Amino acid sequence: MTVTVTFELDGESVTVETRPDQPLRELLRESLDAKQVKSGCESGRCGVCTVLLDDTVVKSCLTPAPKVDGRRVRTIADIGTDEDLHPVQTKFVDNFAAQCGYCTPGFVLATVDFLENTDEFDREDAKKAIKGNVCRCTGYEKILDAIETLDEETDADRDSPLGTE
Amino acid sequence: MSDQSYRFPDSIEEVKRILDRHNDEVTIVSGGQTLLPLVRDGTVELDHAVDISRIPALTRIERTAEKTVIGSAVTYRDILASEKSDRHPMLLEAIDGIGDRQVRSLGTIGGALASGEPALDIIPVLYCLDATVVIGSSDGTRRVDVDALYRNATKETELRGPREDYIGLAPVEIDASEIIEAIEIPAIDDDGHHGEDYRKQTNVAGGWTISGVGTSVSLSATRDRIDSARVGLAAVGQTGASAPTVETALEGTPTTMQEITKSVEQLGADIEPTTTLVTSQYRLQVAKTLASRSIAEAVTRAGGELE
Repeated sequence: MTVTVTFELDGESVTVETRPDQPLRELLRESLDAKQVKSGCESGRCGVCTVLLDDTVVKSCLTPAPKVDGRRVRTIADIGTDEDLHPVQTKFVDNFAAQCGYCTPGFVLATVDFLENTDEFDREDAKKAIKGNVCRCTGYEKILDAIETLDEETDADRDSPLGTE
Repeated sequence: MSDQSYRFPDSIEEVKRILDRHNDEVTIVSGGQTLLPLVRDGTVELDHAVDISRIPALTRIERTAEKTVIGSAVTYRDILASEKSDRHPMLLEAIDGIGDRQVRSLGTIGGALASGEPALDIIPVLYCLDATVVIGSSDGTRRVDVDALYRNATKETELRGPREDYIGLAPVEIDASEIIEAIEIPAIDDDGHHGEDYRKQTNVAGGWTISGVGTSVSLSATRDRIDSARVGLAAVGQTGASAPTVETALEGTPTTMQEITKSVEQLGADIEPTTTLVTSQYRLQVAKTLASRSIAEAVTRAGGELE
C-alpha cells in the first residue's frame, strides 16, 4: 500500500492506505469493512457496487480508490436505516421490488441520483436510469413500478393545490 | 520515483512536465471507466497514475459563435447537463446512450478518444461533427481531425486483454509525451439544410455496441438532394472507421429511400467487420440496416422529404 487517502465515508472522515490500481469497491469492503457495498461482476456491468461520490452515482469497481481523496462517498448505509428508510427504499418495499436483495442497494442509489436530477419522467426514462444495474430475480417490472410510484408521489405533491390529494 | 504513486496535478503545464520526464512510467487517468477493467485483467499496470480530472482547464466547456470547446476531462454527465440541445443534438443523443448513468458520471470524452476502443460511440459522432482534437506536449500544441488519430488502426486492431467479448484496443496516434487537451466542435452553419443522427445496436442494455452508425448530411437548397454526407461507424472492427464509399455514393443523390439503400449496399467495401461477439456477416448486415435508418433520419431532420 503506497498511497494514503482521506475522505468522508457515510459522514465520517477516514484515512486509509490504498494503491493506484485498487478499485474503490475493494478498499471499501476490505480495508473499511463497508460490506454494504456489494461485490458482483467486478467489471462494471452489474452495478451492485454502486455508491455516491460527491452525490454523483458511480460504480465503485470502476473507480480508482485514490480518486476519492478529499471527497465524499455515500453508501446505502447513509441513505436509510431499518428504522428510518429513505422514500426510495419505502417504495421498493411497498412494490415488492426486491427478492434476494443483493442488487437492491445499487438500484436504490441509482434511483436516488436519478430522482435528484430529474423533474418529470416516464417508465422509459426510469428504464434508462437503471440501465447500469442488473437484477436476476425480479424481472425489473416491480423495480420500475417502485420508481414510477415515486414520480406519481412527486406529481401529487406538486399538484396538491389543485386538490388531487 | 517511489514504487507507486497517484497524483492530481493542478495544471496542464504540470502534466506536460511530468510526461516530459516520466512518460514511460506514468499512466494518465481521466475517468477510469475504460482503464479499470484493463487494470483488472492485467492488460495495463497502473503504478504511477496522473489523474487529470481536477484540472480546471481540462474540465471546462466553452462556447463561441464558431465552435464548442470541450475539455478532455469533461465527463459525459457534465456534457449532458451543460450542452444546449439545439446546438449538437446528435452529440447529446449519443452520449445519453453511452454506457449507463454510473459510467457517464466518471467517463470522459478525452479518455474515450485516447483509449482507442473501436466500440466507443463517441468517436463516429465526433467524426460526423467534424471535430478537431487538440493535443499538447512540452513541445507545443497540435490539432488533428478525429479520424486522423486512428489512421493506422485499419484492420490492425489488436486484441489486448483476455476478454472474449472485447474487441480490443486500436493503436492511437498520440505520443506518450502528449495529452489530449480539448475537443473542438465547429458550430453548424445552420442554413436549415443540415441533419444528424446516431444509432446503435448493443448486445444487452448498457452493453457493448455491436454496430453503431452516425450520419450527418447537408441537403441541396431544394432539400431533395444530398449535397454531402459523413458516415461514421462504431464497433465494426477499426477505431475511427468511416464509410467513404457510401459517403461518395450519397453525394448528389435524390433523397429517396431507394437511393439511400443502394448507397448503403456498398458498405462492405469500406469495412471488414470484426467477429467479436457476433459473426462478421451479421455485423455487416446490422451496420447496413442501421446506416439506412440513420441516413434517412438525418435527411428528415435536415428538412428533406423521403420518397
